[in-house]
Amino acid sequence: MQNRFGLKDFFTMALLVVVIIMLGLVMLQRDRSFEKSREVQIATDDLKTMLATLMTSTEETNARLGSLAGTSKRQADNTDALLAEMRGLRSDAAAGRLEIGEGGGATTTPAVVTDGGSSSSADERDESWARPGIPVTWSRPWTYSTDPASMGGKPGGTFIEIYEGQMRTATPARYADVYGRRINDMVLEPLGAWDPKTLELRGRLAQAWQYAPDGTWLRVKIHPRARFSDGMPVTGEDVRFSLFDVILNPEIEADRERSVYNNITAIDVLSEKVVEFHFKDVRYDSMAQAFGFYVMPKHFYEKYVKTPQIYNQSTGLVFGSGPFKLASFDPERQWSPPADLILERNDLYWAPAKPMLDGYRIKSISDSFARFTEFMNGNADFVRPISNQFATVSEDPEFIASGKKAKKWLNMRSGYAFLAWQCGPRKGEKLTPFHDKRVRQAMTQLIDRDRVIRDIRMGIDLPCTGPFSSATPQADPEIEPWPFDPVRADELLREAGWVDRDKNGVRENEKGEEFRFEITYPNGSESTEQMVKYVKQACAEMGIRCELKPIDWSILQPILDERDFDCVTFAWSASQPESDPEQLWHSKWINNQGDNWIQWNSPTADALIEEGRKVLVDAERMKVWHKLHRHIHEEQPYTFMFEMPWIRLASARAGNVQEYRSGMEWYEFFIRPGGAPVMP
Amino acid sequence: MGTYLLRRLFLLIPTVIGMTFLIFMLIASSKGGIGAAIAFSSGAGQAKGESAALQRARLEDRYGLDSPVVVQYGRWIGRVSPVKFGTRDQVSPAGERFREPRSMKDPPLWEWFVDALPEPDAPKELPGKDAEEQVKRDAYRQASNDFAAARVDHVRARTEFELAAGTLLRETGHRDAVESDGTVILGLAKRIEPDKSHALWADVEQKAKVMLDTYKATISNKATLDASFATKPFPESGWGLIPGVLWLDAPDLGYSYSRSTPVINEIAKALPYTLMLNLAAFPIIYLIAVPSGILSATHRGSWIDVTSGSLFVALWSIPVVWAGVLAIGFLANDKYLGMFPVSGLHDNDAANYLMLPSWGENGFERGYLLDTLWHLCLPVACIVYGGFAILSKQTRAAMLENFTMDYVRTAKAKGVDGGSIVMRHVFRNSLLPIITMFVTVFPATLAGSVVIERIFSIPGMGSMIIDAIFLRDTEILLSNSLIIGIVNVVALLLADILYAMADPRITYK
Repeated sequence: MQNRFGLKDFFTMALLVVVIIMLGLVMLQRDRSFEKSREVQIATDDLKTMLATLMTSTEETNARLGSLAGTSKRQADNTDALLAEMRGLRSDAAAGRLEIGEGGGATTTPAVVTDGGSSSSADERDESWARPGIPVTWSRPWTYSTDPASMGGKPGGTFIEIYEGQMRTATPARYADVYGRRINDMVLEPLGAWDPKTLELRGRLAQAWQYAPDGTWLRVKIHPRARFSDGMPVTGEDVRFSLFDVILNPEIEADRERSVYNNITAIDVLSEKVVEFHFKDVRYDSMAQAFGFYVMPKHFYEKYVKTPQIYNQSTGLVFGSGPFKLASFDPERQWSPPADLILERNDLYWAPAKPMLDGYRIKSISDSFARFTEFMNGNADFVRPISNQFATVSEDPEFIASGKKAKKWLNMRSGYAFLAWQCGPRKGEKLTPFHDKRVRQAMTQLIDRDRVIRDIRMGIDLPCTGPFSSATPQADPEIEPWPFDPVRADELLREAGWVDRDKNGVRENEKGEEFRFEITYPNGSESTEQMVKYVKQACAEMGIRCELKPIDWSILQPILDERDFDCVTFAWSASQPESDPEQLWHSKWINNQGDNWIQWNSPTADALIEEGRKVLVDAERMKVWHKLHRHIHEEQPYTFMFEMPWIRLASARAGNVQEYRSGMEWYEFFIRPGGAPVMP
Repeated sequence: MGTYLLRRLFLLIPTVIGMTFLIFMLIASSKGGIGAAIAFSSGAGQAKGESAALQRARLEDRYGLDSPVVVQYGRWIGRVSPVKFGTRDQVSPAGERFREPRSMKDPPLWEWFVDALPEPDAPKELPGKDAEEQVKRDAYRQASNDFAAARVDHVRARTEFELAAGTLLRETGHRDAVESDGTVILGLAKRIEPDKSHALWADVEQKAKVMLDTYKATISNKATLDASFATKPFPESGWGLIPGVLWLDAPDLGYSYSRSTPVINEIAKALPYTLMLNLAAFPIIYLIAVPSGILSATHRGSWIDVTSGSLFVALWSIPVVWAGVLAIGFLANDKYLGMFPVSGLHDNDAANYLMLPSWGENGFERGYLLDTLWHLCLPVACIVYGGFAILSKQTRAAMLENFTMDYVRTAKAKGVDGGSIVMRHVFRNSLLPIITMFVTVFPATLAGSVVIERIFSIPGMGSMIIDAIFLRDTEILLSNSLIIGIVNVVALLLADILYAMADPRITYK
């Protein structure tokens, strides 16, 4: 058995060497063509920027020419009027009717308008599109709330943010998570949005509007300069198309979006820039609905909507008029997870709030530790930490010295955590002890919520009094949270008939039934686990037997639908400054598995909700909501545990990261020069 | 051998069916069933703004969830199976798949109001079979849109009717015939004579009229759509065997509720990452574990044997989660060593890198290849370290067993040198269990390593499956268990065949 290096082995070896050399050559070849295409790419980018600058300046010139033409036309008109006047004067003089005053001027001389440039604004305020007799609201143009230039911002740089979950699709009307909404917020624009500082509804694509005094219709004029990132103008037809051909299209799977815009019955396109909405019911949020959806360019989306399957399966068909745009929206090359999503500045952005950033890169890292390390390594500019990471860094002198910032603030989107009490019969069978208001108040007062915030929530969260975010005008700021008062809790429980009759350490009612209940909570969160354990402990000290029932998130909804719980804990968050209280608190949503799953039936609340929903004047409505807030506080159908402010970490090179009542305004960010990673 | 193979291959079918059936039933029997799973994975967990019944009705209608679970499973199997029955699907050039229009359920309790269900109107005028393709397609799309719109209206009208009828039944003392979401239990309600004198009856009757009207509109639209589908506006998919009855096509794994893309695309995206990780890890495991196993066997009881043995077992017992966090915390954190990247498989701008390392304007550029390898270091290290123990022990045991064999003694007696005995005689014979071990272990790695992929943000199969479990994405779960199941069964078969090939004493007769 001699094993020599034979001819066969030689050929094998030779073949192997050839394959390896070929592989190397292929790579080299690829590199060469890649380099070439990179050059072409850079050249195209330069061209695109040049084109954008050109288009913008052409537009400015046009506008200036237009206003000049307007002025000269007016001057010509004035001259005509003067001539006519003179002719009139002459005939009057001829007829001997002229009275010459002391000043020497004829009293009938018309005022000559010569205010030059500023007349263009009067020109834009042409109200011929409006219904006569109804006041028109002109909106200030949407711009920065904090001008990055005033903060020393310079154009350029790519901002890197890490999301904690993998966004699944970013296509408008199809996205199902907060990440998708964020991308849409940067690339598309709705007709209106909430002012970041005052939270009033302002026009974004809408320049002016008329809202019917009876709340049945809304006529909107789109900003004449508004255009999509390809330069095409935003038209009324785009508005109609977005809602009726996309969101409400039965073949597009957009159920989530569809149920939001349930009060709009029709959109009439009156002219290229004017649309009129018609509403089904008189409701306070009709205008917010009309202003709420993103306006999608019909010329781009039309072909995809015609092939609904392609649209439903798309992940990155995002195209609009917003400050950013996606690098590619060709369906064959659209963004799809798990790649990083890269937004580019929309050089043709029409509004004054043009972003400073060249680009915005969004990565996702689901592991909180890896996310944090990546941020601390300087590879990201913006990240959401978990509570203990935030608590650690915000006191770390090294962190503060490095110029990184830990930010914490309440805004309209920050949510609140609660323990919801089953106020009706559990599963339609047996009443829980919590149908009694006194018991609910006692439960709230036997839980030391400040301690929960301090010890379990790392001191980050804030006391909470009701279902409305305290960053919004909807909440009544004068309501004080219930104190931690076990003595009062004991009294209340006794009043309600829960006394330890057999001296076994557990309270019973008159029928001798022990006070026991179950806290249902979604598993997976350490702090929730700690919190419910604390509540269990606090209950035990009060002679209440509390059992813990962890469940999986996905079965939470069926459990709520069937009202199969005594107490459940999780958190709500809103996306608007004003949330509609009807879903959760009105008794009409108790039956047929509606959203009032605590089965809290309060005629007072019902009346307040019905009243509030019909009040169209904001200030008046807030008064009603404040009453409702106070009533809910009094009744305690939920024990409001804490409000959760947003916590974020920003890198040293991230500029103008402002904390607003609306949340964040990403288009205002800039990158300080000299920061760590610089993107090509 | 041939018949044995055939038999094993045929056995594969019931195994796979049994397995997927079990998983399907598990999901269906969880609280809320598949409908809740879909609602959850498509993000509809929040406050609904409309009645639960309507939302459910819409989902049930779209995904056909109102049929019995076994029927739903049958439908799934029918889709996945390469052998299909019924009318052939049509596929547009853009890749859209059109099935025969879905059938319509009879409206509930129509017996209360009319003697017979309305008949559909005659289908609308359509372009003929020989019309231009684009014309036929436009007509089909129009018909499809009309049908969908009518169907949505009908589902709404039907649900509203059911809720009204449910309220009436509840009011008139038939509480048991109403579900907790307000809809009626048809089987029971059908036999009840409604109280027509009740104040609510007028409302019920009015809603029934709307329901029947929308029903008629929907079936009329369906008739048009059926006719349009029959004109074959798009090319047919697959190969017909018996026209209209039997045809072959590639398995259709459906599309993910949570990711809204075809499952096959998702797998095609995730699998390469997992394969890359494992293909990088396996050679390292084998290159270290096998030689150390040989050394331990030849130096049995010596310090090499003891140290390598205890070291490997120690490594094997370190939990991956801990190791991963330590690796990121110390090796990737700039505060400490910071030698490796924290997450992902490429640098941010890797797309602009050249393939090979090079000297550019900014000095040394890693290039795409090196960059990827650099990113792979930590995750691969985490896969590798726990794998040494079993393989090296297996090698060692097999070697030791062979050392005691007669043929080794013979070789020694013949005067063959020690090295040749170890490598040529003993090692070759000990290789068998190692090969078969590879065949059985490798398919399991296809499922990916959940922990490692999560910690290092690698979007492989593990991440995908765990996400699908969290989101109850039935389609991804079923397809994955189908694929992993098939691969496993085939691997077992392969192991058996390899046994027979390696050891002539084993035959399958």
